[in-house]
Amino acid sequence: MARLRGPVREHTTDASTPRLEARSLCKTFTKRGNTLEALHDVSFSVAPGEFVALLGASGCGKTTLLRTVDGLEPITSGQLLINGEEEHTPGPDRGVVFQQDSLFPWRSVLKNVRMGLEFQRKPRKVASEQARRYIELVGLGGFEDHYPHELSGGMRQRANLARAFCIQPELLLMDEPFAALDAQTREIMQTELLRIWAETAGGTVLFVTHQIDEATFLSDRIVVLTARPGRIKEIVDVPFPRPRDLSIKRTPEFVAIVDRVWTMIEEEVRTAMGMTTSHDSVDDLEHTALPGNR
Amino acid sequence: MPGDTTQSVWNEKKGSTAPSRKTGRRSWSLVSLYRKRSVWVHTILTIILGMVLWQVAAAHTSELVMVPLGAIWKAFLAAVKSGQLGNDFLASFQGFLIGLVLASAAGIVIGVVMATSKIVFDFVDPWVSAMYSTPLIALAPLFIVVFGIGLTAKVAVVITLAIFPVIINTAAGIRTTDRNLIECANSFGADRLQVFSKVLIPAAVPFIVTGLRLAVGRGLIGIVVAEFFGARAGLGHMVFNASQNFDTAGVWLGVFILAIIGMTLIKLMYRFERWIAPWRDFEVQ
Repeated sequence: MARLRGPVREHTTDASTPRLEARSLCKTFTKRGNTLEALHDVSFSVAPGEFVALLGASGCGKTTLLRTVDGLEPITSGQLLINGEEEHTPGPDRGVVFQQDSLFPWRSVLKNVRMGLEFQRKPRKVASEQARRYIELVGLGGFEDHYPHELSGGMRQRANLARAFCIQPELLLMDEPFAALDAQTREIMQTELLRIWAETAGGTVLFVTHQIDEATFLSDRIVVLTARPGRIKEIVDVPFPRPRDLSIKRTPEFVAIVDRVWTMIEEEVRTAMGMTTSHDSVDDLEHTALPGNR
Repeated sequence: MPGDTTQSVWNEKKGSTAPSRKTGRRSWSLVSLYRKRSVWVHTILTIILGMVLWQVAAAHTSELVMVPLGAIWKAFLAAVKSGQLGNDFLASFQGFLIGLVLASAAGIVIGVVMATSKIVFDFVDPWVSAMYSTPLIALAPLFIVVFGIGLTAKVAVVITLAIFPVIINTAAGIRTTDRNLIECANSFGADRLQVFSKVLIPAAVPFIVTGLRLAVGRGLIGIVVAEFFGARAGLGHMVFNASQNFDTAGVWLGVFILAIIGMTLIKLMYRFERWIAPWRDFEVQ
């Protein structure tokens, strides 16, 4: 339903320009004289309308990468291009769904969702109307005047999604948005996200996760990162047609991709955990679709 | 839960015979009344108990220390009738209110400035902390010397006592704002002014109100002590005068009135806190 997107910002760049492009991006943190390399020579691009997952073990720098894209974290070297232009500060062209509960506790659902438009100094009435449409879209109709503490975890993440979608960003950045939800709610939210994404005429999405099956289910491509410092290990195509529903998770093709990514990343997880040759179970990566895991 | 109540009453009606049903229901509803209103029942009981203990104690101590409640009541009626109590109350209330409003306004501004500028904080915080923990009430006689007997001195004492909890809580509220919320606002394109007005200030509001509640308690002490040292009217003045005249009933009357005012104000402030930050109760739990 394209009507929800409203006027799309015009760009002088042509359609072949990637929405997001990282060129040899490096990020180093310095703390009390110690340096920590979080990202090393990361290059990848995301085409307009594409859904890309960033997958890696804990501490591999995937959240850092997302934060640099949002402009919350400066890059150390390399280039970060958004619509072909260097961007170093947060802007209304990017919307973020944070990992943790980042709804404002003193704001009702409606006021939380319209927050981004308020910051853009849109008239309150226009902002509220638009927010209501997105609240309806994420299935929170009737909860506009509820406060976050009155909602369940799943409902709060719906509100979080609505808030990010409401500013109609060209690039949606999601930082493990469903990590705190229980397994069933998470699966529902994954399908909901795909539905909302389709109904809003699909902006470009960069989705950080450590769950292989979530990345496989949601995305067109999976960017697999190594253990720290994060480098690109491989980029995996996920060829399933859309719309997708949860049943594809049981197809052999799906399981094959999950397996492939798992073997790719297993060594990285062990490195991240400080293990080298041990064959203990690895809790950090949940990969429910692995045959041996049933 | 209302649903449960109707359900069980209905079941009882159906399941039992007429006479036992009647008595059963009555005792049941008394119990439920007690359960619902237990706070009130306990409060009334403890007040009655306190009054009884008072009377017993008063009968066994010197009249210069304690007098029976009846004597205090008589003093109350006399003070109301003569208009003296009304005068004293208004005089105290005026000084208290002006002092509290000024202390709140200045305290919030100073707290905000401290929280937003690290240099200001570093310079001011040691003084604020020192003055908050010092019994500044000891300076009350000096205020009388400087400002003379009257409203100005009272207001000055109230401000001196009330301002520090407001400053400290305001600054703490802003400084402890969840980093994630600030970052979230930044990421949604908020400028510095918007972060301030739409994140830092709302996040600090519950802290500020807590500071105001503390200020109310301290301001009340301030007004009474200021009136002890020099005033022409006011509840503190009334207590002081009564004690000078060995009018024990008058002393206790003043103390009781101050206690009631204090309790009422603090209770109102708690209400205000819950009304202004309904989400906070939940977070604390």
